[in-house]
Amino acid sequence: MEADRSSYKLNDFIADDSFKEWALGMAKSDFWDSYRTQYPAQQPVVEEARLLLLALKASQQSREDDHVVEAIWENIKVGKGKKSRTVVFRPAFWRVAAAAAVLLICWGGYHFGGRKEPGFGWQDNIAALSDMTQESNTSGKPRDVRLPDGSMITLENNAVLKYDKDFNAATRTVFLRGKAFFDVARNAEKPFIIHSNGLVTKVLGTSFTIAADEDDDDVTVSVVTGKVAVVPQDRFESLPEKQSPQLSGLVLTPNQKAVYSRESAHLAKTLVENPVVVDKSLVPDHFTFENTPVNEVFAALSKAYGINLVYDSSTFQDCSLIVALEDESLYDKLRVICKTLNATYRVMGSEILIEGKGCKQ
Amino acid sequence: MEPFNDQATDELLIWRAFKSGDEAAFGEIYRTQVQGLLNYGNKINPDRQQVQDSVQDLFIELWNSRERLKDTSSVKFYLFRSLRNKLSKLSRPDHSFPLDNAYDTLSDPSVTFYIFDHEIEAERIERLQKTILKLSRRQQEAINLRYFHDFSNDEIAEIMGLNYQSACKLIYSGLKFLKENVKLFTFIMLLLR
Repeated sequence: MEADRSSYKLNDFIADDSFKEWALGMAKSDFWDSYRTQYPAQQPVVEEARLLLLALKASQQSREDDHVVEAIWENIKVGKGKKSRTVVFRPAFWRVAAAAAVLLICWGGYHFGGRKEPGFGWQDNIAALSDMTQESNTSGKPRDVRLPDGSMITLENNAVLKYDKDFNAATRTVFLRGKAFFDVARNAEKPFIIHSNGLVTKVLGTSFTIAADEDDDDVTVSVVTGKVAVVPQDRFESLPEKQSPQLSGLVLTPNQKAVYSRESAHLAKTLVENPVVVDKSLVPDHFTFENTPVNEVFAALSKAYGINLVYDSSTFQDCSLIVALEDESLYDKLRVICKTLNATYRVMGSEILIEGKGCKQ
Repeated sequence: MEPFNDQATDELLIWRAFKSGDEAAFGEIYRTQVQGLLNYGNKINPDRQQVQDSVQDLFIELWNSRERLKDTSSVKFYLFRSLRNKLSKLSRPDHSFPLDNAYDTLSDPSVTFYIFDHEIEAERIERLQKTILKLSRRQQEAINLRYFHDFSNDEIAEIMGLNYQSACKLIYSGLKFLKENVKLFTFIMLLLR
């Protein structure tokens, strides 16, 4: 009665209830434990299926705020006493009041102290940490600072960078106020961690810009090269491996930018204002295309800038382009191409969506 | 698979206590189920306020009609089915749970913060979430019920008011799409590195 599981494909694993329970750690199974050793050729598929199941589950995760759950419960307690079926009206102001209270607390936290976690705010806790080396810049022009590990930080005007004497011992932790460009010396053993106005950025070795002015509502991190992980301060505190070189959080790649709203604690990923070519070797002859299928042009741009272009390749399969693009920005390049194709593009999150009708006669 | 494992027995005992008017048992049911119900409700109805109100009414009605309720082998299943009925009644004027993706823009994945799973890059989950949004509403619902709330295909069919074959079809077609498209994304990412 049992299906032959030795030749399972990805879909078969995903659809199999006992596999799902095992993969998600809901149930133990000797069968699946020994399956991988029994059918070694299946190992990659098993792993792929297991990760897909974990990702599927994680992708559906959501959690309502405790105060919402409590408010509903209070209303249930009131409503259930009534004999008739009553619909309890929960006035909207209740929710507004709750939201305002939460905001006020955060705001109060920012302005009236009470910041205990290191790096959560700026003045109080940084001042409290002694033995801090401070680098600041009030010269009106960018100033380069070289750190003991070889990293080069370019501080914009009014930016302040602090680090303590343990810098470069186990980790490389610094605190930033204002805007700075980081060119971090690669050291996979010692993650470089930057605390800036409620956002924590962790990198191994790469270059990027952080803008964390105290007066700004948002903290932004723009990546030039390498890979960076960002995470709000409060989540960072609860990460088990916060000092480890493992990158967890919202991972950014070149030309991507994280925008962290200090007020709503939302973290969003988008593209930098002016994406640059990430790998010059991938630039096809200065972007000169002669009678090239437009799908190939899109693929070339996508590779050169490391940005995912989303388009329906079947729509554009009959389109070819003769175009020489060179120093224009990516968006200008796309504008030229889209104009030729009578198509449009727009930035969606960290991807660019291209839509059009194609070139069928 | 056994009909009376410990968990099921506990659940039945709590259910019976609730039916006999035990308020603590009622609170226990609320607390165990409320997050799951809100998660599911928000997946099938874009109006969070309406979802919260429906969950609230559901529990009030549950209490008020407790003496008439039968024993149930799965409280969760019973509540999910009831919540869906409620929400689909609410949205009936404009055709219940449309197949189109009219609501999809409401859950823009780029502004959510992802729960960390140390084994999986947030990146991968984000890609998957985006791809899931390209599925039909009903495919999304079925995937949510099966892979997050752990319902069987039978239960999913019953919750969604479908026959068994249609429910299976929804899930498998959804999975097929995800598999092809998430793979594709992985492939693109590899090329970039």
